[in-house]
Amino acid sequence: MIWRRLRYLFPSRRRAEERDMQEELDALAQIGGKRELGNLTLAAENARETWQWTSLEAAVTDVRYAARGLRNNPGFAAVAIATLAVGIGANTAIFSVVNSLFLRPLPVQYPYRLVVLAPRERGSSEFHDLSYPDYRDYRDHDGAFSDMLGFALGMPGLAVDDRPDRVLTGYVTGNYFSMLGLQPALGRLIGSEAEMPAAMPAVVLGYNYWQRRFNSDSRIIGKTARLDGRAITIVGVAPKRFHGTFSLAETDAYAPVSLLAASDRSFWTRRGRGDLRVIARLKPGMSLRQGRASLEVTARRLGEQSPETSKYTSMEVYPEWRARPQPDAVGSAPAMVCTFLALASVVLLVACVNLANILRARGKTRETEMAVRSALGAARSRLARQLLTENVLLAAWGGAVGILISALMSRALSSLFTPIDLPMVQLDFRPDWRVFVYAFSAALLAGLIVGLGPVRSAWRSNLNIVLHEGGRGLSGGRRGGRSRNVLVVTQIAASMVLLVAAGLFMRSLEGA
Amino acid sequence: MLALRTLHFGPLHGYGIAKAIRSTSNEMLNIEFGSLYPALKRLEARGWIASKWETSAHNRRAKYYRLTSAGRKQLTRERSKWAEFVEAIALVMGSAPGEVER
Repeated sequence: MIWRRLRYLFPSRRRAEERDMQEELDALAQIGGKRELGNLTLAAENARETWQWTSLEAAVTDVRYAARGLRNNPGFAAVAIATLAVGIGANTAIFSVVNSLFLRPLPVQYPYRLVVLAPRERGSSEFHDLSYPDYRDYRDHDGAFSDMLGFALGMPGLAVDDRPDRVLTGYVTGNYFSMLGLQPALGRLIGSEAEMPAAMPAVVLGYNYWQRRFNSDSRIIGKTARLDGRAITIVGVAPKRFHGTFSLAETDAYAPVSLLAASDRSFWTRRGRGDLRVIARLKPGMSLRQGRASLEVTARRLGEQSPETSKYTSMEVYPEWRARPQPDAVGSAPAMVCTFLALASVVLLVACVNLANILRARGKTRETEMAVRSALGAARSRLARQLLTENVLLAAWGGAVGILISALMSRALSSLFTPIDLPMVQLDFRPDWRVFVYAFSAALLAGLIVGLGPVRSAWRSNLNIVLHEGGRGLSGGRRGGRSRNVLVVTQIAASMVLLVAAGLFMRSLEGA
Repeated sequence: MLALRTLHFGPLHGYGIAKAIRSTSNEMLNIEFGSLYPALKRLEARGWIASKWETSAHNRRAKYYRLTSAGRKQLTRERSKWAEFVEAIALVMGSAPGEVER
């Protein structure tokens, strides 16, 4: 039956059907007499439902009407959309920061199976990094994990053709790229030779750095260069979307851990002092708790074997995304995220309140229109749907512009996060699908929330009073005035809170 | 169901169906054309009746409806459902089927 309905999506089919029906009814009227047949108009109306897409058409009509209304009031539309756009834009920008820092998984294979090892010394609440021998022991002897990688961060100077740059470099173990399941964008990636001393260590460039600094020149492969004075060879470029395993900044280059040992021979053998952050991959089927238990066992065993490692009394394990930018943040990260999101919501709320004010003012001029439509037989639900459609349309526009604004703001924010002594770090605040879903939901929510106000007042408006007194009856007077004051006060209060919070945040950033 | 049954005996146009139902039921069922017509349209949409423009006896054009084979099957189905319905009501009301005659 639905197939026949689909045919009627074409207006030509609908017109033909309408003509046919009219013919039939006319013919019957001639045969039977109009009085016999009763109300033909009603019959026709009811019959139309069989071949019309009434609800769909009504929705389309609503949208068209709403669009026309906006076009006829460009000033109002512009202000309303701008208000919403700024609110949604700021909200989304904040969310995209949160998303990039905390929510988005690493663009690697099975990112949610990655965990960070966080050893803690007895009596201390801070987490350490692991030394290389300890890392090797855990990697080779723990059964719950299929592989473990280690990396350390540094800011050496990379000199290619004698033009030195400070680059954020990840000193990685041999299985770094293989464990993450990454393929090179160009050339090859660092392999197991990373953990052996080499004459010309292989270095891999980060994709964005390669684009920025070397203009995506493929001839960089095989070139020799100097990293903090040591001769190295550039062997490849990391894949495009991979920014390293440090969440706060993009890793520009990847070097083997053997380079760390080059300046400090004891790197290979000393235990105790931490060098490496270790990320491990849970075996399929293993839970986090099982992993932690297994590590505890291994830790104890190693502690018995070597007196220096017995300092680590507990080995915590956290999912990778929770331990950003480092395991110490595990406790504070959720709180930070919540604070950020709360701030964002306040921004959106202020925008909605603003908009509600504007709509309220406009609503009064429309009371007459609503009253007339109601008198003509429009159901209240239809009127309500019309108003809601208008607001959703506004919100849709607001959302679209808002996303643009948020993209701009994200770029501005990423330059904001650059601490002064790290000149070349770039943060990836590019929006992904989560951000779009978020913006869309925010826009929808805004539209609905704001829309409910005028809908409610339209609901309650008394037809008679409105028509006779020309709309100055109910919502005008004192009651309306009081709620208006409440709105204004709320707005001012929220804006102040936001300003103060933003100011404090900026201060704390500068101090960090 | 009534419309389908009426058409069982031959094709009719919309007004004819209303008249037929009225006369067959001894004026007990006077169906408003305003409700019958949309119902006819719905039946047609489901493929149980088909329509065609024809000239009637008095040389007037009208749209005639006839029962399709699918419609015939549907009529049988609805008829048996109706019979079950009647029996159920009779049971509840206390008299056994067959005892209704007085």
